[in-house]
Amino acid sequence: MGYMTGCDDLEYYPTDQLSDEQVSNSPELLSNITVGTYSRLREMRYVRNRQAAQEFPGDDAVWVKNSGDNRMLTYSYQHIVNSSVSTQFWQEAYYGIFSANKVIEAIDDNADEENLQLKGENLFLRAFMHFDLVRMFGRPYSQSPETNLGVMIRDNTDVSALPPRSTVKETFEFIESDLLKAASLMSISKPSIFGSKEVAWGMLARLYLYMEQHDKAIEYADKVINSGRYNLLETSQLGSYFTLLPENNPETLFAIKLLETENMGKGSIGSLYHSQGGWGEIFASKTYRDLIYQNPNDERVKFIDPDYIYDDQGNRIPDPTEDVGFLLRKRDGLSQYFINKYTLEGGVQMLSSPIVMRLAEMYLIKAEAYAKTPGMEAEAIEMVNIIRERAGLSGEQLFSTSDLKGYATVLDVVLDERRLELAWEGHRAIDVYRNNRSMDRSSVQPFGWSGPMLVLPTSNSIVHLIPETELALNTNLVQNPTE
Amino acid sequence: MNSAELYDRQEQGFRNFYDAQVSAGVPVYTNQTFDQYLGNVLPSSLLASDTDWQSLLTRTGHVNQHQLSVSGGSEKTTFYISGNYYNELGTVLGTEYQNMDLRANLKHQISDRVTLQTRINAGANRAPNEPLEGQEGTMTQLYNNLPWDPAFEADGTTPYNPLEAGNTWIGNAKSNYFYNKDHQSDITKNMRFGIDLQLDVDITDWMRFSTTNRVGLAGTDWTQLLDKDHQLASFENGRVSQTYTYDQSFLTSNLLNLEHRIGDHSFAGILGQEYNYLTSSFTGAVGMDLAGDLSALSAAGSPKSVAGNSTETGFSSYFGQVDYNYQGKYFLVSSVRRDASSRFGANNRWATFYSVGASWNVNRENFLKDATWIDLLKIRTSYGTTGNANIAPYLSLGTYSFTSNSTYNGLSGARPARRENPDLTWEMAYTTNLGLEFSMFNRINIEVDYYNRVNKNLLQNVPLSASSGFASQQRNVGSVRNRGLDVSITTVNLDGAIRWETNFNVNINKNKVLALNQGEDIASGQMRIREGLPMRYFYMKEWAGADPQTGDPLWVRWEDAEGNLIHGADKTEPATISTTNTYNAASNLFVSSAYPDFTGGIRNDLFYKNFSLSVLANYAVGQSIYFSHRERIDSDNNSTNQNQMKLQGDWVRWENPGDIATHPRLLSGGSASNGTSSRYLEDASYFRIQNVRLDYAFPEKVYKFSGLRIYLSMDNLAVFTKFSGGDPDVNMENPVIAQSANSARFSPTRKILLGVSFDL
Repeated sequence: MGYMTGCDDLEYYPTDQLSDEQVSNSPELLSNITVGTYSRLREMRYVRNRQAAQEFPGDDAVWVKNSGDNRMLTYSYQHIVNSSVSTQFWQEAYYGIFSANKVIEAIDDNADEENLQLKGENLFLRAFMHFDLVRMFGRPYSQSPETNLGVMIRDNTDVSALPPRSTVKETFEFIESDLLKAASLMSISKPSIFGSKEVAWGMLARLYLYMEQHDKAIEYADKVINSGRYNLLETSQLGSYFTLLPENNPETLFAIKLLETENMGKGSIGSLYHSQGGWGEIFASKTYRDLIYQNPNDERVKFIDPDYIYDDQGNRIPDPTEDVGFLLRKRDGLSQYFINKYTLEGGVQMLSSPIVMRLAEMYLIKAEAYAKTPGMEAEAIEMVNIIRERAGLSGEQLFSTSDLKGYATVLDVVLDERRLELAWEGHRAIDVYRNNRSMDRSSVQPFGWSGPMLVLPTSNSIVHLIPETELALNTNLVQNPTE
Repeated sequence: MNSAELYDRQEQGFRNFYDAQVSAGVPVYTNQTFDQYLGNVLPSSLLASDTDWQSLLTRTGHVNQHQLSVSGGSEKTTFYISGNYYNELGTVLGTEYQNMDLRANLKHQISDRVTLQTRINAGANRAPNEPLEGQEGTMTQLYNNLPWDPAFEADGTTPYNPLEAGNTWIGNAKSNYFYNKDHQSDITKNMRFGIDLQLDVDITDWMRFSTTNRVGLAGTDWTQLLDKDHQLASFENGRVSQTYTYDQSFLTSNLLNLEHRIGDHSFAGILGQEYNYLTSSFTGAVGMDLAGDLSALSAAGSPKSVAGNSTETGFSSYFGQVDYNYQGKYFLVSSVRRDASSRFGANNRWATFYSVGASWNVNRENFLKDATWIDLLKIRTSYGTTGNANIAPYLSLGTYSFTSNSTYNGLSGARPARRENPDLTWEMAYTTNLGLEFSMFNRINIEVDYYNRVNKNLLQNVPLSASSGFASQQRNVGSVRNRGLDVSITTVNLDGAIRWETNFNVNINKNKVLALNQGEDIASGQMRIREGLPMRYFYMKEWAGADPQTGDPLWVRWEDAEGNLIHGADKTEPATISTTNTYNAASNLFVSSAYPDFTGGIRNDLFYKNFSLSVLANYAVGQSIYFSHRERIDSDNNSTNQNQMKLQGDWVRWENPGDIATHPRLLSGGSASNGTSSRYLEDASYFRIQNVRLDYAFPEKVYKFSGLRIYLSMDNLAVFTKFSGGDPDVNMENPVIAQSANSARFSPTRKILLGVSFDL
């Protein structure tokens, strides 16, 4: 606009923003909004806090440093009401849910295939974010879901609504109905960095497992397995799983895509897990190593990258006290067993598109559901062995119903296999607590801080606290117990 | 703290932690002695190193300033040209600032009635910044880096690389200034240029037309280079970022001045129109995979991101003013104006402002004719309204924005950016003034002004519940009142060979929020806006010191009659007030106002022969500052990777049962004892000797120079305060806990200037 034109009308519009009306009246802009909602997932405020909230309360990794980062309070179960982890995550999730609702409201259920796909993806995204929220702020479904509080359900774009928290049961049922509808609307095959029918099925399988609806968990896991879209990665390739681009990985159902240009370096998820390009402050825990190094030929040991010390000739120095038999660099007395599930995607340091769901989990969902169904122990063991054989184990290293190798129950076998397979992918803590088991944290206590040694499934501290800034802005919200 | 002091402190923190674990029977601890435990977490070998970061990171700075001005001309044409150069090397390494200004004014009398003036000014400055987002800033390193981490290798000159394989670094964020400085550069350059063209035409004896037209250009060039060996860019093989910002403005102001006199009655008036247009645009690009030592974007092997946009704002105004006076004794003035700004909603773009004022020169009255000791006695009063449009453009529109953050897998995406507010309008200030000016004996001058200013339709960014889908919305929220008194007294204490003048001034202001929409509070960071309280009022957990029995941190807890935790925001009177040692169980409360009770200054000037001495001091009493950096450097061994402050003044650390202490028991990895609370909210009253200057003017020409003066000037000579952060005038409220935010701030430094000025 020139100096002399428009002098009097004072009407100016931004060059990088569109108005509400422009967007609501234009179908192609709805796909831009959908992209914008996916982009929330890759924001560190979302994905990095999500990873911390899901993984750090586990026992597969030890964080050596005493950091000022609020994620440390998640790790040590010392939640505070103004933690940046819960505040940023809560906000990003609801902002994303709002923009998903914009698209859901704009597309009629009788629209054409492409628009229905778009609507289905937004229903999936809305369910995905509610699911992440209820995992972070609500107690496991296996504990009185009718009375325990979940999160606010947001299914409209009313900007003045201040809803209370729904119960855990209501929240799960809302997610369930969104995923069912999403699966029925989506018909277009998309790369595994977007929602699709199969991704919604996989999410439903996980949801039903958490809800202890074992038949349905098996049914939806089978839908994914039998869809023909996915294969378990070959044993020989397994060790490089996380270096493959997620779109090219036949096992990945859904990953949150980060491009090389979006690599966060020291600020990435992987930064804590590996020192090459990162801070390298989190190591594989002693109890996890005790489990995985029982079978040194297990391909999954390759997800651990020990920080060897080399002598002048470039050889490793023997050290029988180490699980790997060689001398490693230590920090504060802890050996540096780095973890490489969040780095080196496409060979780029610190680049990682975090895996949300992969086919191996579907087999393990079936395994757990069978293990909890009387008379189906053999099927459960069969599923576990599929995962173990893929990891390169064979013969005596496999289980049979007649030989549980010291485990008391088939469920114990299944849960340890989940731990081995899905380590550091955000499953461990919820798997322990939703099965009403306790978490032994004595081996992941670095020196000099006061987190609990044993966390009971009934503990108040297994959930995060509702951010106090949000409580103040919506007085209908009720806080989780703070003590 | 030095190495030994910090070691002692941490050892105590670890001891208290160990003892607690042992008495709880935790096997990991009962299985080892304290010395074994300490050997792992705090080996005594640390004591071998004692890096003094404070002295390594500071230097004696200097300032270099040159000024040159020339004026002259003929009967019809005059000119003035000046230039100014300023170069400061700060006391903290890596801080420097250069500035250059040029100005040229030209005035030409075209005819008896027509004058043309042009004013040109241009300037540029340049200063380095610190790349942050993951490393500690230099000032933070000065406070936080550990004496156990080396700045240099054993040779004393090679910078120590904290990230090199095999190197250890205990401090937070592995930040060694001396290593990073060789691998980074980060510079902001600003330039500005403005030209005014003013034409005055005397149409008649009593009517003059004046038009002023200004074009302004301003630009900023920010360039950051991090090479492949820099810790923040190694994963990208080096990164170069550049952003250019370009602002243009155009202003036209057209005035018709009228003046007329009938006997003792003088009239004057102004009719005017103004239009102001501003546009700002930026272009930014980031590239990675840098080739060799090259630093241009073109040398980047792959692009990382691009960004850019432009914004526009327009203001339009029409106004008129009438002045009247009778015999130079009674004065009346009134004005009215209509203003519009594109920043407001379509419904409320225009607003009308007005003012009326009167003054009375009492000393000109006949009844005071004989009181010759009165030099001036004047009473004045006024009432009027003004508007504030100081917000970013487009905030009234509901929009979706496209940015580099909203892309996914390289696809262009949009996110809801703003909730619309078509009613957004001007903030209006209604101001009443009453003043008195009194001078007597040519020695004493007193000015007293009372003011009452009520701002209505206050412009405020209001946070929203995340359930709305938005973080905040710009709104007109209510009204706030500022009421106060300004007093200024100037006296000539001595008037002879030695002349001594003193000026004392004080401002007492009371700020109060009168109304908010539906009476609802507005959260604003660590503050909360509430009806009936001053606008900037700290709202946080209230610190209650250390528990005398256990040494635990304590905060105040309010409960309702059922024993539920309540907060100040709940607007419920507490049934019980107690303390808690659990941070989460403490109430958020209105703690104290940030505003000072009064502020002011004192200036003394002494003249003797060709010497003059001036001493300028200022003060503020009753203000509070939240010194957030203390969360990190005045903790209780909560985190062990930052250096710590020593206990100041009346601070006491709890050691034994029965101790009454401000600081809780040292406890490694303790809970949230250093969480945000009034523990770190400090009284920041101060008295500062701002400037002392001694001048000598040579009476005669020295060599070829006339008007030769030399002077010695000292800035920030001394500050008297209880505030633990040094000078409280520096902004200490920045959140410095996150690595993404820098930094402990640059303290004002004592500057000593020796100057010479002369005419040619």
